[in-house]
Amino acid sequence: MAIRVRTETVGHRRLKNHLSEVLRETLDRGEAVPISNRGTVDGYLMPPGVVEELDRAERLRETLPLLMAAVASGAAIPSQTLRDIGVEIPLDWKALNRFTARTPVAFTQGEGGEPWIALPDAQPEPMLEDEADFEL
Amino acid sequence: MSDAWFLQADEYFVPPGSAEEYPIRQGDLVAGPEIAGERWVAAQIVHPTCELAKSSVRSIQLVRVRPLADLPDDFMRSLVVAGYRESGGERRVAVAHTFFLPPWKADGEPCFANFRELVALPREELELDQRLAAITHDCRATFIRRWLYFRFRLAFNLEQVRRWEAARIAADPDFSGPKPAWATA
Repeated sequence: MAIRVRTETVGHRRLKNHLSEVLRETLDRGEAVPISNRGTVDGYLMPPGVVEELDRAERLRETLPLLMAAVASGAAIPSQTLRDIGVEIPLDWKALNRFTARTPVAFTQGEGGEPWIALPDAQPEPMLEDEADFEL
Repeated sequence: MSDAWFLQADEYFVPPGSAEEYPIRQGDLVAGPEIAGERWVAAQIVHPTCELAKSSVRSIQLVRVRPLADLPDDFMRSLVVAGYRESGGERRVAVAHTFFLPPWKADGEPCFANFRELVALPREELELDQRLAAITHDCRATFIRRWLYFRFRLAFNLEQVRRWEAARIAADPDFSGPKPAWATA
């Protein structure tokens, strides 16, 4: 989704006095509204979804090198983004294995969508196992 | 280090000529048992290595190895081979219950271990000495990492797992066979 920006600005005074109206217009038009003070834009009023869209664009920007490298290598990386733009790479397990084994990837989420939080380093402290045992 | 879930195929297995130097360990592949009238292609040992040598251990825990071809389509197969997926710019762990396995013999086919199909079989029913393939120490570190993520959802990176495995090996008075280069210090 491209972020559309309204051409005319809304001044501080109008924003202050007609906030509900400006908000309604922002929602109805789905456009970002430039807020100006004495002719200079000093902020934007954003419709819902824009922040998420910017976040998604940022994530895509980070991921694009990985996807482009996969395409160049003929590696059928499981990618919804590539599918969405019509890029279909036939699966060659050797090419995909070679690519994923050699290409750094920083996970953003675990399998269930939970944030991927790398666990902190801890100094290994070997413990000896007691020899007492039983057959259960 | 790429921190990939899986190694490149040629780094998985100890070459057959040297395999006898390596005692059987967690992650090694053994002949598939017959379970509920069905013969498995192979099985992968998930039982901890230190337990395997104990005479008190009467049953060994294994997971089923299935051919990649068992999966319904190439997208599912690609999830298993990569171990992650991309969607909307997010890089997310995928099919955490699987561990990709390249062919372990020249005419073999790619497979995967399915951590959800877990059995404990009496030791005497297993022909542990007829191991199909011994995995390398590096591969075992990737296996342990994936297993930890599946069982406990603990997000360790590969270097952490390798460091702990090195410490464990260094402290194991019964360790036998060649040590990995990263555990000889």
